[in-house]
Amino acid sequence: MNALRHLKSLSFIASVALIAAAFLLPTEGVGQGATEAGGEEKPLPTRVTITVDSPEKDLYRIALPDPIGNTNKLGAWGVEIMRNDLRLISLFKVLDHRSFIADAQKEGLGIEKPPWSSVGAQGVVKTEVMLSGNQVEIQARFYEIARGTTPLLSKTYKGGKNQTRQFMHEFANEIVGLLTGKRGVFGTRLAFARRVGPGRKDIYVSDFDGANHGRVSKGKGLSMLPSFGRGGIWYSVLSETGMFITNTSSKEKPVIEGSGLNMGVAVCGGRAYFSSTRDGNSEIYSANLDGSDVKRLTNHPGIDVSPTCGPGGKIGFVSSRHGGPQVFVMDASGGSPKRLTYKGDHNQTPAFCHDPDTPLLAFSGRDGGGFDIFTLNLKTGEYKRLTQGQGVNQDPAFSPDCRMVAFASSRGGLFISNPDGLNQTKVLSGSISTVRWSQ
Amino acid sequence: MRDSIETTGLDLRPPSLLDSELMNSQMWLGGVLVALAAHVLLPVAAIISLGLLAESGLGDSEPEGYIEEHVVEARFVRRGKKLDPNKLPNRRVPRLSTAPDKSTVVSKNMNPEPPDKKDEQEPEDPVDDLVTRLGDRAKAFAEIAEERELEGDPEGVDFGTETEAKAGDIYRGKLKDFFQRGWTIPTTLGDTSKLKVTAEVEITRDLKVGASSILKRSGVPLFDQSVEDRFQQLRTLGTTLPEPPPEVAEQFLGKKININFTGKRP
Repeated sequence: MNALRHLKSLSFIASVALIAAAFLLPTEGVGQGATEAGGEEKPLPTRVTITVDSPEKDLYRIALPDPIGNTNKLGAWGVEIMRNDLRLISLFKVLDHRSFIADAQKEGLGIEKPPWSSVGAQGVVKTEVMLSGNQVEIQARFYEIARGTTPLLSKTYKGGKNQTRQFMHEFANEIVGLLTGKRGVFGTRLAFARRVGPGRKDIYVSDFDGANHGRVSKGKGLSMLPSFGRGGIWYSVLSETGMFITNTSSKEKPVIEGSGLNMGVAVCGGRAYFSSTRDGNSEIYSANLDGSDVKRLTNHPGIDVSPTCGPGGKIGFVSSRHGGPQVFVMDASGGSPKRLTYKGDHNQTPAFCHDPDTPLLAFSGRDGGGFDIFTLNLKTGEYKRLTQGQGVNQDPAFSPDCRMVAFASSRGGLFISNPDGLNQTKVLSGSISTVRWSQ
Repeated sequence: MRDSIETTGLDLRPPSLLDSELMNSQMWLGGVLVALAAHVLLPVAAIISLGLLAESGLGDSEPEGYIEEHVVEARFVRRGKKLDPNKLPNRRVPRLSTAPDKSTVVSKNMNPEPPDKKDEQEPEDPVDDLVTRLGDRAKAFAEIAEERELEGDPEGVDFGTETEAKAGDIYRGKLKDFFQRGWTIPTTLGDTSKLKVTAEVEITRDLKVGASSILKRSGVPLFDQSVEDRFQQLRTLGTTLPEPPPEVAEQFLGKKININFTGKRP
């Protein structure tokens, strides 16, 4: 019993000692040694610290050397597609491949850092294109110099030779997704009307970069105002009795018709929205995609035209109810119309960005003589001008990621720029109007 | 009740402190072990963890070994005209619009007599008077619109907010300007407002950018690389830093300074 009591006392003393040690040890061990053995304080040297902020943004410098493999011509063509994609999105500076000093054959699909750092590359895309008959196999790698020589992306694409373009777009989309968190939209399509002769317009589609363009209307008269939707490309056709709405899957037979002009269709949320003069004045209507269940949405002495899919399921349109044409938005059922544009006296052809992070409306506004492209930030109310002094520019359309804006220009074709109007690039020539971008 | 407990062979009652006979050696040993675990092992584990953390450098807010002398942007002196230190600060206001009209006579009498009719005089030329008044008003507006030279220091920086400062503050502002100009980050980086890189760089005695290293990374290699690129660019070009004033030169020349590069915008 005495032994146990002794043990109890010992354990208590040990506990107290160790707790004291636990509090004392860190001050000696982790401290900065400011106290000398003699107790005198030795001052630490001071070091100036400054804060540098607000860096400028610069394009990401990316290198896409010619591919290796057994097909120089197809490979070089394919890589050029990727280079063009990355140029058009206005995020990259594609370095001139003639300036590269790396030994492509020695490196293969890998990289060594020094030759790429020395040409200023921040990212490098290596590709190998192997052609066997009509089959192609593409190995693609993406490296970021700051992250070393291990590829951040490594993909293999196999398929028909005619899929090379699609594979290149796909890898470019992957790169954009990796670097920005939001995939690219290379490979999406544009639809537009093109003047093909006196009094004749046809509907055409093309890849976003202007490739693979072709006519989708029958080419017999005046076809205009296209849009993408279930059923293919929708558009309006002028007939002897008026104008009807059709789409590519109905082989130009009327889908929505009625007396007067029925035109400017937009397919939003399973219904078609269009303007019509069937009741005399031009108003906005909606209908099922087979043309049934036509409902009138606006009822105003002013002219209401150009319905378009707006944010949050709403419908944008142009109305002259307040004087000159301005952009409005309303519920899909026609209620709660609200004016959006207040600057300028003639604003038309609205197109909304459907990315919630980018609440932008693009439109054509007449300023002085001709039209120019503008955007309005629906959150901040800030207007931005994209074109000025470069002819007549109208009918904007946002890319699905809202990083690009396509528009028709009197400079002779279809242009793409970034949402600030920078990097304007002509992707297609011709007398083009009413551009729509597949979403 | 006690009988029923005894029959089970286990006494589940709580031991009384006065009932020492209930404490057997096993219970004592258990108590000691629990006390050891609670008072010794846990603190020791905490000490070891702290030691390991300190060794690894994780959790360090700033590098150790020196006291940082931070300069916040608000202390940077604004570029402007150096005012005479013996004079009170000048706050310019349009004189014409606030000075009393010379023609106005203010009576000290609360109920002044009406002026004699004979003393009243018509203005010689009312039109002239109107023109004069309009001219005076125009001058007042012109004075308001006149671009006033900001009070500050000719050696200050455009983004400065203070009107006077020590020589060292002015020089730090110049250094900030020097490293900021030409520092670029790729457009592919989204929101960089929370990114921060702490770097140290030597200012050589011949006013060049010397050795540099990253003390704390942002976690985004491209952002870190942009800082390294900036130093490399300055070294490659052999750009000369602004000369420090003599009174603070020894604080900078041949010394290392810390620079926090942040992606935020003020």
